[in-house]
Amino acid sequence: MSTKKKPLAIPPNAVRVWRGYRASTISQDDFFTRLGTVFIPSTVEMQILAGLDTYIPTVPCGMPNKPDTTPDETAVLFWDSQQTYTDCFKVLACRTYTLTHAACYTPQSGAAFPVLFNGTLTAEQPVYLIDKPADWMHGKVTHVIGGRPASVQPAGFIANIANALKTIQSSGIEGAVACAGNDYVVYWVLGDKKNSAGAIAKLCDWNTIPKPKNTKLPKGLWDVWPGMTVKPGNSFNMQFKRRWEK
Amino acid sequence: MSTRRQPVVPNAVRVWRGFITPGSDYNAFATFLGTIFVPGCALLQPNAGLRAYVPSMTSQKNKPATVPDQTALMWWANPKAHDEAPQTPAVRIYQALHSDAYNMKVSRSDVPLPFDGTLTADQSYYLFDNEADWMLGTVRHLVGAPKSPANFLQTLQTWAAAYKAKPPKGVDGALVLPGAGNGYVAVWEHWAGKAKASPLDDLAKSVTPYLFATADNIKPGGGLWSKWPGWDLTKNTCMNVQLDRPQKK
Repeated sequence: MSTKKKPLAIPPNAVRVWRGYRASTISQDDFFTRLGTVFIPSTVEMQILAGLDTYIPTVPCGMPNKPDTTPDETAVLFWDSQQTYTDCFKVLACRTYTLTHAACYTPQSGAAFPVLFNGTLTAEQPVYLIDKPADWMHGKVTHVIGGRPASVQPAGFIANIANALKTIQSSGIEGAVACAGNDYVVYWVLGDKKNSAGAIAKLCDWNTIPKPKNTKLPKGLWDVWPGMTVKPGNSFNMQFKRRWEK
Repeated sequence: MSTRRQPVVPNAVRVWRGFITPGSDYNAFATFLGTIFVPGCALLQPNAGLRAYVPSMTSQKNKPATVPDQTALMWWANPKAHDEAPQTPAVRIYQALHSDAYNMKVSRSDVPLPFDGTLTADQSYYLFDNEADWMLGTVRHLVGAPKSPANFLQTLQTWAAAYKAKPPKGVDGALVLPGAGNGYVAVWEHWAGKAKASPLDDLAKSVTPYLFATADNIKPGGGLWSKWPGWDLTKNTCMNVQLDRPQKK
C-alpha cells in the first residue's frame, strides 16, 4: 500500500494498549465469532475515518496452557494523536463501536495510553521505549504475551521485565510498547533485529511470540461478507488506507 | 439524499415495543437511545435495506409499566431484507450494541399480520394491503392505555374494522398493535401527504394517551463520522427519520 500524500508522523505515545479478558458469559467459540464478524472488522471500518492509523489485534484465547491471568485478546491501536482518540467519541461511529464490546469482556479489561519508559514499570501502566514516530502498520512487528512464573513474585517479575526493557531501549529497535501486570506481560516491538522478544519471553513461564500477519479486509461495511475466521493464537496487522492517505 | 418514493409491502416492517429495565434511570435510557442506538439504526442500516424508521418515546408521567417506554417501526425493502441485513458488517455492528437498557423479557419486535377482523394481544396487524413509502408523507402515532381494560380488545377490533372499512382519504397505511395483557394499544397511520382528522382522534379520546403525535420528519444531524451528539429524545419524542436511502437496492 502506497502513501500518496505526505505521511503523518504517528506519535509513539498515540497508542491505546488493550488487554482484554473474555467474560465467562460468552463461550470461547462465540468470542472468536464475535471477534471475526464484528469487533475486528468494525475497529477498522468504523474508526479509520476518525483517525485510526494502525490496528494490531492478537487472540491468545484458547491457546494450550494459557493462564487465565494473561489476556485473551491484546491489541495496539495507533491514532493520529492522543487528542484524535479523545475526539473520536464525538462521532457516532466510535461511540457505537465502543458499546459493541461491553458484554464480551470482564471489567478488568482495559486500554490505556503509554508513558515514556524511564527505567521502572508500574503494574498495568503501558510504556513506550522509543520516543520517535513510527509506522507500525507497514513495519515488521513482533509481539510477546507471557505469564509470570510461579516461582517469581509479582514485584520481582515486573522488575525483571523493566531491567530487560532498559537493555532493549538502547538496542536499535524502531519502536516498542510494553505493559506488565502482576501476572502477565505484553510486549510489541517494531524492527526487532536482536530478538528482544525472545529476551522478554525468557522471563515468563507460559508465553507466545506471534508475528502479526498483514491482513486486509476484503469487503466494506455494507457488503455481504461473513467476516474473518479467528482461531487461537491468531495475530493480525490490519492493512488499510488511513484517512490522510485517501 | 434520495426523496424518490420507495414503497414497500405492509409486512416489510418490524414493530418494536421497548420497555426500560426496571429500576434503571430513565435519563440514562433516553441518552443511550438518543446518542447511540437511534442514530446508529438510522445511519448503519439504510445501505443494508432499511427504508423507513419511526422511533418514538412515550411520556413517563403516570405511565403504567405495562405501556412501552419506546416504540419503533423499522421498514425494510422487502420482507426478507431484515433477516438478510446481518450479512453485512454494518448491521452486525448495530445488532451487537450491548445495553442493559431494555427489559428483554417483555421488549420485542414482530412482523404484522393482515387484519381480518380479529386481534390477538401482543401481535401487530396491518389494515391495508397496498404498498406505501412510510418515510415520505406523514405518520401519526398513538400509544395509549385503556381507561377500562374490560372488553378492550373487542373495542379495538371494532375500531380497526371500521377504520379498514372506511379509511380516511389520503391514508395509505395503518398498523395496530394491541398490547400484551390489554395493557395498551399502539397505532400508526400513514398519510401520503399531510395528515388530517381521522378515526385515530376518536380512539385517542377513548384511551389514556402516553403519546399521540404527528412524527417530525427529521434528518440525522450528521453522518457516522460527523461531530454530532445525536438526538435529545426527551424533546424529539416522535420522529420519522429521513434516511439517506440508496437510489437502488
